[in-house]
This record gives sequence, structure tokens and C-alpha cells, in this order.
Amino acid sequence: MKKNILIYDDDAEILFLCKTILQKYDYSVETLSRCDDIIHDIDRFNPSFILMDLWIPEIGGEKAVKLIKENDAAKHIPVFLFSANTDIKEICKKVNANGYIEKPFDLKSFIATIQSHVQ
Amino acid sequence: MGLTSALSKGFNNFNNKILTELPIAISILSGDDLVIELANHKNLSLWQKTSEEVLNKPFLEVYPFLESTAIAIILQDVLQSGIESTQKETLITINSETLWFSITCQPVKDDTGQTIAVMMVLVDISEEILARKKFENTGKETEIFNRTVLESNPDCLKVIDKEGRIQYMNVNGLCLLEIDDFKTIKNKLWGDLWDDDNKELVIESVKKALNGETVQFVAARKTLKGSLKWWDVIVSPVRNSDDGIHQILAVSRDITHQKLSEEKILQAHELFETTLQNVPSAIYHLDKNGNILYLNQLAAKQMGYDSVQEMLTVENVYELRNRLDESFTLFDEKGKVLAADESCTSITLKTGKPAELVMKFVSKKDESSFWLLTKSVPLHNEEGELTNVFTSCTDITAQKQSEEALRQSESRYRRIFENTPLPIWEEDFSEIKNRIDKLVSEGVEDFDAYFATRREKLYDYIDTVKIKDVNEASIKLYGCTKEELLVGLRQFYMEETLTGFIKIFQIIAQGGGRFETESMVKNKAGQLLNLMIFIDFPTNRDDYSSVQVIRFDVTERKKSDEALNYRKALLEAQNEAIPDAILIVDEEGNMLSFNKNFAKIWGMPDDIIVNKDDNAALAYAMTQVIDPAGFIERVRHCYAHPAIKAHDEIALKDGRILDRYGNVVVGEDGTNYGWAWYFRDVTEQRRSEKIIRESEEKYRGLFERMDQGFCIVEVIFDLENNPIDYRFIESNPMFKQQTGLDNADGKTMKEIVPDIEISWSQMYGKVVVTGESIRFVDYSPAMNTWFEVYAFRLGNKDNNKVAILFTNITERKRAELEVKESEEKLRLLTETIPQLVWMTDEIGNPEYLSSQWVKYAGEMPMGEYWTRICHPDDAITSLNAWHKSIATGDKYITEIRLKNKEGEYRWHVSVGVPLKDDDGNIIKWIGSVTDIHDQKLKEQKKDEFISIASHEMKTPLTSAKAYLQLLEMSLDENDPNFIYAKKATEATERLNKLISELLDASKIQHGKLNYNNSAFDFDRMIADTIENVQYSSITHKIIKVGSIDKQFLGDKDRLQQVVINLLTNAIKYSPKANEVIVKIKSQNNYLHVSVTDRGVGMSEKHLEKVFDRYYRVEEHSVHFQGLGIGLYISYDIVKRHNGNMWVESVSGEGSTFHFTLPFIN
Repeated sequence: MKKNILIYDDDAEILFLCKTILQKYDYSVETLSRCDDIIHDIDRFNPSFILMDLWIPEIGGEKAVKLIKENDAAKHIPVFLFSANTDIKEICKKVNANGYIEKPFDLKSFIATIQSHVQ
Repeated sequence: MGLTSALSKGFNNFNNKILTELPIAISILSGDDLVIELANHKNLSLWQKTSEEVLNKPFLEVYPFLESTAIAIILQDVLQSGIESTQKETLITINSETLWFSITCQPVKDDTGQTIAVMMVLVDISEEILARKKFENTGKETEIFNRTVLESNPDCLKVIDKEGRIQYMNVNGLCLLEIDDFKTIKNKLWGDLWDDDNKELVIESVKKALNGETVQFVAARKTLKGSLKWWDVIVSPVRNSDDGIHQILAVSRDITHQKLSEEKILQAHELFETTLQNVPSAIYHLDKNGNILYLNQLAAKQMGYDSVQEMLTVENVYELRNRLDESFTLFDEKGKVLAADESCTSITLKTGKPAELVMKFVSKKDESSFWLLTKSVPLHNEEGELTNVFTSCTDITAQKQSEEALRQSESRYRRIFENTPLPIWEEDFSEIKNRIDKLVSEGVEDFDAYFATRREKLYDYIDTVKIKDVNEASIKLYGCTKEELLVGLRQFYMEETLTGFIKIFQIIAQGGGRFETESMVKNKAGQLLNLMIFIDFPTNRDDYSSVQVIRFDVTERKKSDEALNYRKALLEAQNEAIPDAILIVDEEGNMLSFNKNFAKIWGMPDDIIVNKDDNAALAYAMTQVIDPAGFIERVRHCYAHPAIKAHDEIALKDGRILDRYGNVVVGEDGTNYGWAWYFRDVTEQRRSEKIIRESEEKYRGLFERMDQGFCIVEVIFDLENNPIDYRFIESNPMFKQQTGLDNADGKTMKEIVPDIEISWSQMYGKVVVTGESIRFVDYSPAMNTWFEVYAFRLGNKDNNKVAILFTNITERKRAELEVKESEEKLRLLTETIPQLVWMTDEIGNPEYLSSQWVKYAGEMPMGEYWTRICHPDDAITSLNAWHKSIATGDKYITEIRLKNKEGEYRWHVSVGVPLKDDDGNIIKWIGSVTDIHDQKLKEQKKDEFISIASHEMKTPLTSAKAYLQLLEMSLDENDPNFIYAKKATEATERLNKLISELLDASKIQHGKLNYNNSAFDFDRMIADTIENVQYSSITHKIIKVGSIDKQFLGDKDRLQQVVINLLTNAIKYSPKANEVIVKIKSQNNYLHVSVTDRGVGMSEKHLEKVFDRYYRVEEHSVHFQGLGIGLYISYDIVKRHNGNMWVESVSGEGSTFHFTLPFIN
């Protein structure tokens, strides 16, 4: 069974790109351009890995990570922040995300990172 | 044997044993042959025999050598006579040793009384005898010695028998008595040798001596040859062994010389005593506690006591003063009342120094007064302690009165003053004038001739002179009452007076003028008086009803002049003599007396001193002085010219200098008693004089050389005592430079600068009057100069002298004014510029704030204002920055939000710079606060924009890069399109880097760049970075040298960013080179990284700016792309790690970038 990867980003181009790449590597990819109810989304898609844009509309990446990590049912899911922000490393630590992928990313390391963290 | 029984009988009280052991030699000899029956141990040892050798043998057989000696004879005698016999001091030779024995022989008798044996006891008395003999011999020697001494004794020694006849006289005695042959006086009665005056005395003394007394007397006697000699005679009995007196010894010492000296001294003493009692000065001699030891009659009289004895009941001088205070009030010359301890004597007692004081005694009863000139001289012992005080008081009332009269007359009668103020009479010459005028009109010209024939008429003329008034002095002079004087002149006139009187007519006839003559009158008591008469007849008027006549008593003056001179001479002699070495010699130069100091100062050997040997003393002195010839020459000169008071200086070989004074001691009758020489050791004085001189020179030198102007002025006062000018007495070389005044000495200030302000004179006048020194700064418009002045009074008030130390401070003042003006300008400027300006002292206390603050904050910032107007978020950081700057002296710069009066916070940049003095010490902080609020907002917007823009740019970049990489992956590496895709990917990477840098720069600007510190392997980081960069560079080889071998705590990513930046720069700016060298090393507590390229380098002017934001080296900007923010970011990262970053570069040769980072723990 294909692992489900949930990607949030407000940029459709990025979502499409990521979906394209990851599908090549045999992942099932769900993309969302906004985040209104993260727990509901997780319930719906049951992801093995979440890539969260820092500046995702409505609740924002930071809050979303927080909610996941506070939810007993969801907190085991690896969540990576996804941003062009140069301070992403610090924010990542702050919100206790599992890691981050900085934009623009290197394709090889992007795949390697996800592969190593998908449960 | 009968003997044995006899023995046992005779010695029955003896124990044989005891006999044997007795320490006396005992033997018993019996029979005619003197057979030795018994010999005890002592006896045997004495003779050095054994008992076997002697016992039962005849005595002479054992001791044959004793035959016919005293011992044998005595033994036979006792045996035959039966009487005990003792032989003292018998000399016996035993074995060649001669010993003295005392021999006692006792007969031993039988019952019938028959002598049957002799007991002989021998006692060795050799030691006693020898001792006695020795003593006897010594006695003989002593006698010889004594005789020699007697003969050589300088005194006259006589041995006189019981009858008083001379038996012996020593040779010196003969000489002294001028007797040629002793035979001429031998057996003569001693008393007969004396004059009748002393004969009894001599005979009496002999009698007394015969009674065992020793008598001494002094008597004068002419020698046989007629010279008068004084003798000190001691007559003593000579006792023989049986204590009887058979002879008398008379020792006469010639004391003629001594006696004569004594007489002279006595005379001198009498003279002294008489003089002291008769000098017209009161004399006191006190001990160091002020107790009165001696005073003369006048002293008692002066103090109102009847006798010296009465005055001596007063214990001491202080008590005396207290008693005096009951009767008198004492004033000094200036009219100040004197307390008891302010008297001349008290001063000397207190200070140990001579004192001189003029005192006025005013009686409390009748206000009469007298003046005393008091002089006190201290006497010190050798240790320099005060022992005595010698005070003399001279009545100078007359002199003082004269002075007083002088003063009074000066103001009242100027003309009288010119004549000398003494007894003054006011006389009416009107009638005489009428008569003379009449005579003149009658044609009389020669009044001498006219009155020669009319002598009796003169008295009529004299009687017409009416005496209107006379003064006290006149009354005294004539010794009568005022009423008696007013009767008329006639009573005093004599024949001689008349001659002078006629001259008066001559003057009157001439129409007045000065009459002056010496004339003789008699006073009430009939004594003749020599008078100088002065009359000034008015020349400008005919009124002769009141003419002042002065009669000046020259008799007294002459006399008193003499007395005064003598008095003075005596006083001086006393004063000068006391602390010094004194030598009194008679007119021939023989030493009469001297004091201790004389021997001490000269170091005279004792023998000279004791013998008062004039020649020896002089000879000795000659050996001590450097110039003996001059010394003796001077002495001779003095003796030859007694009228000249000798005073000279003697230099001694030991370096000391003596002042020598010679005074002739002359009696009242003019007799020259001799000379008093005073020697004063002035070595110390000369030395201190030298020191003082040197010190004075030194100070003078100082005055000459010092930078300040110095002058001494004499302030000139007008009649109302207002200071009006001052005269320069002395000035130093700087004076001219400081004042611009040349040759001022001797001139007054007004002479030099006529329009000089009066304030200067007033200032100095004040110093003169008050005696208080002043310091002030003042400007003289007349001299157009500012002066800083310190003025103090020199000497006392009467001198009017002021010393002035001053500096011309015109330049300084001008500078100060300029500073003031410029400060004013600056103030105006700060008020007008929009910035808020502030100034604090070196530690941050506000000193100045421009008025813009009020405009801005609505109030002048005071106290807690900062916390009130500063945004709470900025307050702490700005204060920390401020304190750091104050501590380090670094420029202060901070951005803060300050609340304006509308309550709005606006951003300001506050910049403060330290103001340093020449030595680099911070003296002030000056700063400005500029409103950057609008600018700040713009910047914030810009940063927001950059932040958003970079984010927005990165989004498509992310897609682009990902697609390109996808493309790249889909292509074969040999496909030419693969290269294109790869290049495109690299381009997106560069673009990404630029965007990141721009964002970083923006963040640095606001301190928002975050750091994540952790420990990491620095070597590893470098190696990775090099590998990474090397990967994308095929043109350059990156060479790494050295290592750290240590963990480093810091932000690994950021530091990597720095290394990347340096490496990429090195590659970028050295396009023609092929290598880049990275050196890393660990030094002490920091690491050092350098990156060297052989590139284009840069000129020096860029070296510091290269780390600025957006800075680009312009000559390279054409060839090299970039925003100019990479080094700016790197520099910030290194700084944030508390490190340092710098560059060394030579244009065209390459650059080396360095950075160091401190290890933290």
C-alpha cells in the first residue's frame, strides 16, 4: 500500500511539482492549498508524512504543527516545515516540528529526506 | 739522772708531746758541755739535723761553727748565772743562709736552785727584720728626696729652732730673699728679718707653731735689698719621734705678682662697683628665673624705693613689675599699654635674646611721667642655657620730652622748633623797642659805645622787659618758682650777661631778626649757668609785646654729653662683653682677667690659663691664627692708638672666624686702666650669613627667572590718606614683558601711564592699610591689558610697600572671550538646527540640552524624564549602550523611540561622541538626537518588502529549480541539453543565494539575524566547506594549511556562510590565478582563519569600507557582479561571535582576508 504524503502550500505550482516528483517515487500524495482544520485533514487522508508550508493561509504552518503535536492521534506523524524563510531552522525547533525543507530545495535531498522519514 | 727528774719537775705542766710539736725551735742543753738533751721538730728542721745527729751530744760539737758567737755566749751566761736572757736580732748563718733570730735562754734549775740545764728558744724573725730594714732604707731615700725637693722648692723654706732662730734656708729661699750668703742670716731671729709692722705677727706664729698649731698669714716685706714683696707664709711644727716639737718649718711663698694683680682686679672691681652705683642708669642683674641678684641705687630710686635693700625685698622682676603697676601705667613708644611680661627683661628671660625697649612710666597718682630706655642682655653658660640677665634702664625723659616738645612745637610754633625747644620765656620787649627806636631816632648807632658810659642805665632797660610767662623747663633751669621768675630778669644777670644784652639792642635797632648768643647767668642758688639765648625779633611788625626767648642751658648739656658718652661706652662694653670671650689686660698688655669663653674659644692650654702667662698666651694665639703677623700688628696698633676702638676679624687655622673687639677701659678721671678684648666666634654667623646671602641670591635668581612679573611698589597717599599712585621700587625682567612698561623703577604709575585707573592704587593702598594680601583679576582699559595679581604688604604699614606678583592674562582672557562667543554661536546653532542637542560631563551628567527638547517633549527633560519619554522596550538597551560607551569611551549610537508632547513615540537615532582633551581624557560627551521616525518606517516597509519579495521570488525559483533538476535527471549526461539544464540549475542557485543575502542584510540591519550556537568540529566544517566550494570551481585549487584540532562553540551554518563567502570571493576576484590558500590555526584562546588569493586586490582606501553594506570597490564593479553585501554579512557574523575580521591587500597582487574567533570555554 502506498504511503500517503500530505503537502500544504499556497502555491499551486509547488503542489503540482511536489506531487509529480513524489508520485514518481511511488507515493500517494494529497495536496492542500489552505489549512482550515488540520486534524480533520489528517483524519481524512491518514498521511504518513506531512510537509507544511510555513505561510499556509488561515492558521499558518506554526500553529498547524502545534495542533498536530498536541493531538494524541496525530502527533506520531512526521511533520516537516516547508518554506523559503531563512529562519526556518529556528522556527522548526520552536514548534517542535520533525524537520524542515528549505525552498528552493535540491531534488535529490528533497526525496532522500522524505524517504527517510515516511513511516 | 737528776736531770730527768728535774725536767719532769720543771716541765711538769708541759706535755712532752706538745713540747715536741710546738712550732718554735726549742732545745734543752745540760751540763757544762751543753749536751743536747732535747731538740723538738722545729729545732731539728731549723738546723737541718736528725735527732740522732744531735741528741746527747755537746752543743758545740754538733754546731762547731757557733763557737764564740752570740748564741754560744748567751748559753754559757745563762748556765753560769742562772738568769734568763734574751738576745734580740741575732744573725746566724746556717748552711750559708743568713737568718735573724730572737734567742731566749731560760735556766732549768734543780730542787736546790742549781742551774743544771738551759732551755733555748729560737724564733726566726728574718722576715720582720728584712721588712724593717727595707723600710729604713726607704726612709733614707725619702729624706734625700725631700731634701732635694726642699732645695728645689720655688718657695722660701726655713727651719727655725725653738728660739725662733733660722737654722736652715733653701737655696731658692735665699734667692727670693735676695740673700747672697746663708751665713749672714744663720742663727738670726726670724722675726728680725721682718719689718716692725709684721714682726709681732711672725713671732706670734712661731709661738703657735711651737704649741703644735699650723699658722698661715700674708704679709708684705721689703727684701734686704729693698724690693717690696708679698708673702704667703705657712708656719708649721716639725715633730720628732717622741712627738716633741724642737723645730719649726716656715714656708713663704712669693705672691707679690698675684697680690698686685689681685689689687688691680680689686681696683677694677671697685671701679666697676662704684661705676655701676654711679652710672646714670639703673642696673639690674637677674638670674634666669627673674630673681634679682643685684641692682644699683638708681634702680631703686627710679622705681620709687628708698633704698636698694628695700627693693631687694621684692623677689623677682615679675613681682617688681606687678608692684610698679600699682603706681605706674607703662606704655611703649607707640602708646600701647605694656603688660608685666612685655617688659624688656621679661622678653630676654623668655627668649634668651637681647632686647631693647623704650618705656614710658606714668604715675597713677599725679600723671607725672618719665621715660626709660631699657636694654637687656642675656648671659649664657657654655651649654648655651640662659643663666643671667643684665638689664640697664636709662632715664631718657629729657630726650623724650625734647622729642615731645619738638613734636608739639612743630605743629604750634614752627619758629621755635627751628631754635631748639628748651626753656621758653614769653617776654614783652615793647618798652625796650620804644626806647631803642627813640635812641635810633636820636642818632645812636653804636650801642656798645653808648652804654659803655651808661652801664647803670642798662638795668633800667632790663627792668623794662616784662616776663609774661615761663615754662616748666625755665623754672627748673633757674631753680625757683614761677612767681619768682616773673619778677624780672635782673635777679639773674651778671656783668657778663649785660654784654650780651646790649647786642639785643643792636638787633632791635636793625628792625628785628634773629638774636643768638652764648651768655652766662646765675640761678636762684647762685650757680653759674652757661646759656645759649635765642630770640627771634619780629621783622614784619612793631609789636614786641610777645617775644619768645629761649634759654638753652649749655652747661648741663656739655656735662650730660660727657656722661651720656661714658654711659653709652659702659653700656656697650657690658653688652658686647657678656656672651663672648673676654680678656682684660692692663695697659702693658698683661692679662688681668678673662672669662671661661676666652680659654674655650682660643683653646688655650691649661698651663697658660693657670699661670696667666701673657707671652705664652700671645704666642699660643699666634700659632692658631692664619695671619700671625697681621694679628700682632693689629694688637700693637690698638695699644698705640687707644682712642680708636678696635674691631677686626681673625681667621683661625681650624676654619673658625673670630670677631675681635678691643675697648679701652677708661676711668672717669681719664685714666687708662687697660684694655678689654672681646672675641666672638662668628663662624656660624658668617656661615649663616653666607647661607642667607646664597638663599637671597637664589630667590633673587628665582625672581629674575620666573615667568610672572614681580615688582615692589611704594604706595603714595594724599593728605587725606587716600592712595593716589604708586612708585615702582624694584621689578624683575619679566615685568617689562608682562606690562610692556620699560624702565619703570623709580617712576610712579601715573608718570608712566597717566590715565591709569585709580582702582589699582586703591587695591594696593588697601593692602598697605590692612596688611592682608589679595589675589584678583582685573582689566586695565588704560593699558588694554588683563592682569592676574597677587599683592602682599612688605614690612610694616609705615613702609607703604607692596610686593606684586602678576601675570598678563590678556591673551587668556581674549581666548576665554572667544570661547564664550563661540559657545554662544554654537548655542544659537543648536537652537536653530532641527536636531536635539545634548551635552554631558565625562560621566554622563547632563550639562546642556538644546531647547528643541522642550519643543519636542513639551518639557525640559529633568530627572526621571528619560524613562518617561523613552519607549519602555528601548530604555534598557539604550541605557546599556550609553553606560558601555561611558566606560569604554567608544562612540555611542542607538535607536530609540521617544514620546513627543502629543504622546506619540517616534524613532530617533541618538549619537554621542566623547570630547577629549590633549591627553586623550574624556572631558565631555556631545551628542545629537535625530528624528528618524519617517525614515525608520520607510526602512521597515522596505524590509517587509524585501522579506515578502524574497519569499515571493523564492517560490517560483523553487519550482524553476525543481523542474530543471527533474529535467536534468531525465536527460543522459552526454546529452548537450543536460549541460544546459545543469547550468540553469546553478543559475537558480546563485539567484537564491543573492536573495538570501539580501534578506540577511536586511535582518542584520535590525539585529534580527538569528544564531544557533552549538559545539562543532571546526576543522571538519572547513574541510566540508572547501570540498563544497571546490566542487563548483574547476579553475582554482583550494589549499588548506593547518588545523584547529578543537571543538568550537558557535553557529556552524553562519560561520560556514562566512568561509563560503571568503572562498567564493577569492575565486571570483582572482580570475587569472589558480589557487586559493586557506590557513587555519589555533592561537592561545582564539582561532585564526585566513583566505589568500593572488587576485586583483584593492587599494588601501577600500580596506576599511569593504565590510560596509552595499560597498563595492568601484574599479572592480564593472568586471565583477554582486550586491556588495556578502562581506557585510560575514563581518556581522564574525562580530556576533565576538571575533575580528580584517583584510590585507595590495592592488594587483591579491588579498588576504582574516578572521579570528575566540574560544568560549
